Amino acid sequence: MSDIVTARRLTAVALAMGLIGLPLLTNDYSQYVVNTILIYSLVTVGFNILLGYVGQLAFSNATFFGAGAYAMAIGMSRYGLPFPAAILLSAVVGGLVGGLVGLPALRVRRYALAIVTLAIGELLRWGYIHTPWLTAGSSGLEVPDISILGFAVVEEKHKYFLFLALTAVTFWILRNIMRSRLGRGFVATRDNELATAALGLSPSHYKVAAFALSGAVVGLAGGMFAVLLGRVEPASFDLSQLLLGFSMVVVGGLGSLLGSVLGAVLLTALPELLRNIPGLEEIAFSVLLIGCLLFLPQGLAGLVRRLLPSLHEKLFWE
Amino acid sequence: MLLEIDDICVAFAGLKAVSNVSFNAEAGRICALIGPNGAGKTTLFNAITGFVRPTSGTVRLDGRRISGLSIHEIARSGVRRTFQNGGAYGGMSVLENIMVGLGRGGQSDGLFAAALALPQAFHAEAARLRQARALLEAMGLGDLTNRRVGDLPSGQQRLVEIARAMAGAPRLLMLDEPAVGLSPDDRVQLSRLLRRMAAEGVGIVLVEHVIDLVMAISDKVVVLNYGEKLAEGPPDVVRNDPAVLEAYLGRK
Repeated sequence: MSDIVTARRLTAVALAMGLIGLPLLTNDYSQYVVNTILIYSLVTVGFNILLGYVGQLAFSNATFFGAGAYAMAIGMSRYGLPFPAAILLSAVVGGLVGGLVGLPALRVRRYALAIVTLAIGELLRWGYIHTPWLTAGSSGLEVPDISILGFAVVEEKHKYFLFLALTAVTFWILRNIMRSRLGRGFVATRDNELATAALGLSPSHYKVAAFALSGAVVGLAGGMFAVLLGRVEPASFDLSQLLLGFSMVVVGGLGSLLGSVLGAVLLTALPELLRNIPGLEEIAFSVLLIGCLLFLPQGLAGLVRRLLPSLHEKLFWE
Repeated sequence: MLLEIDDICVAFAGLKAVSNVSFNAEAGRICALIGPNGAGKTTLFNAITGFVRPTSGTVRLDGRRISGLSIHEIARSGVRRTFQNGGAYGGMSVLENIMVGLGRGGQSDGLFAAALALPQAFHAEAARLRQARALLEAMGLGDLTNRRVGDLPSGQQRLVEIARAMAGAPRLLMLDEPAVGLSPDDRVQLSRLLRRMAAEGVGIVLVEHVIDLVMAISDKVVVLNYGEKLAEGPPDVVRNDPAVLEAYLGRK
């Protein structure tokens, strides 16, 4: 047992050192790709809370992502908020939108929920286009350069350390939550809603909590996305954004933190690697998706767990 | 009186599934609901636990009205139920099932303490784990602690589900056909378990088809037929009741 703990600590230290040393190996472009991976790790894990942990067929990742990105852009460019306040705003706005989107989930389920959440996302996107006084409409809103404690964070490598810290802290918190009573309630609601209610736990409570938490995490990612691109426009939050997040969750593994990272890494890096060969990007993406659905119902996380059972994510803290 | 059922009616689209049924169940006693297929046993069971709303009549637990409350509110007032099948969380381990069953009970740790992995959250979680493991040992399920429930035979899944219900320290335990699909050995284990829980003061109400089991362990039997109460009394009295014999075996 202590051998496993030691091995785990060593792996964690090696991983941390690798992540901190990574910018030594990257150029501006590859660093940008890595930064995108960090953002999509958060998008995927946030979306996974709804899809994988609580089993809600809610297509809201693009909605929360957009809300967080616009909160960042509007907060900084219109109201002159400093970055720390603006990133907090991204998470809070994402969480509030999440909570609101969660209310219909108490009445409708499955396919109806999928349609309702899609419609809410499109409505919000329509809002971004048609309120130019706030969002600058379809041309998009500029995000000013950011600085933290007087230190300008403009280069990709600087953004990397900022994003890495935000991503790591968020994953740590989510790991803690998923092995607490709240996380158990999420999975219990997914596995059997009526049996969960019969234990004195309210499935509605867990659903709304999951929507708010998902919104906050994906909203935070949206704020980072705004900083990464330096501009926020409505087209970034359309159906293709939604499908990308959905694919990352399914390929990575439903209901798995590790899977969320794996899905984001693979589906961000692969298209970039294949970019120079026309057509191959789309083909590889489709083949991967079909292959995962057919052969890896638990996604990449399921494959990893089969090889390394100690990576199984428990629902209690010991 | 632990459970008082007073003049309960349940109708679906005007069709009466349960009409004017009244009976009581006491703490520390096992009460069985029996009757031919379609007699309204499961409907009555669901009306008590909040899964269907009674059309009229009241259900009281310790004198407090629980009919009309939602499922989780009824559960919170001290009622736990099991299901005919698939009630346990198949994707979770046995221990995780019990941990969910502990629910809101035990030491409280705030969400923020849990999210930030503060020591108080760790201690509260450790206390819950000790409690869950002790319960599994007491119910003879200690060997299965880390097994995935979906991988277990249905008899053991049922026992896990009963253990999960007991984790909520209910005053009233409602079992929907607990012996269905159990091997003879499992049935013996179940009977012993139910008698022991009753001896600890839990009131037990069960819907059951396995008449031998009912006669062997019940303190009281309530017989339903066509949605109405046909007979009520100790097993040996009910067994010889002419109306009950007629309902089960037909008119001579």
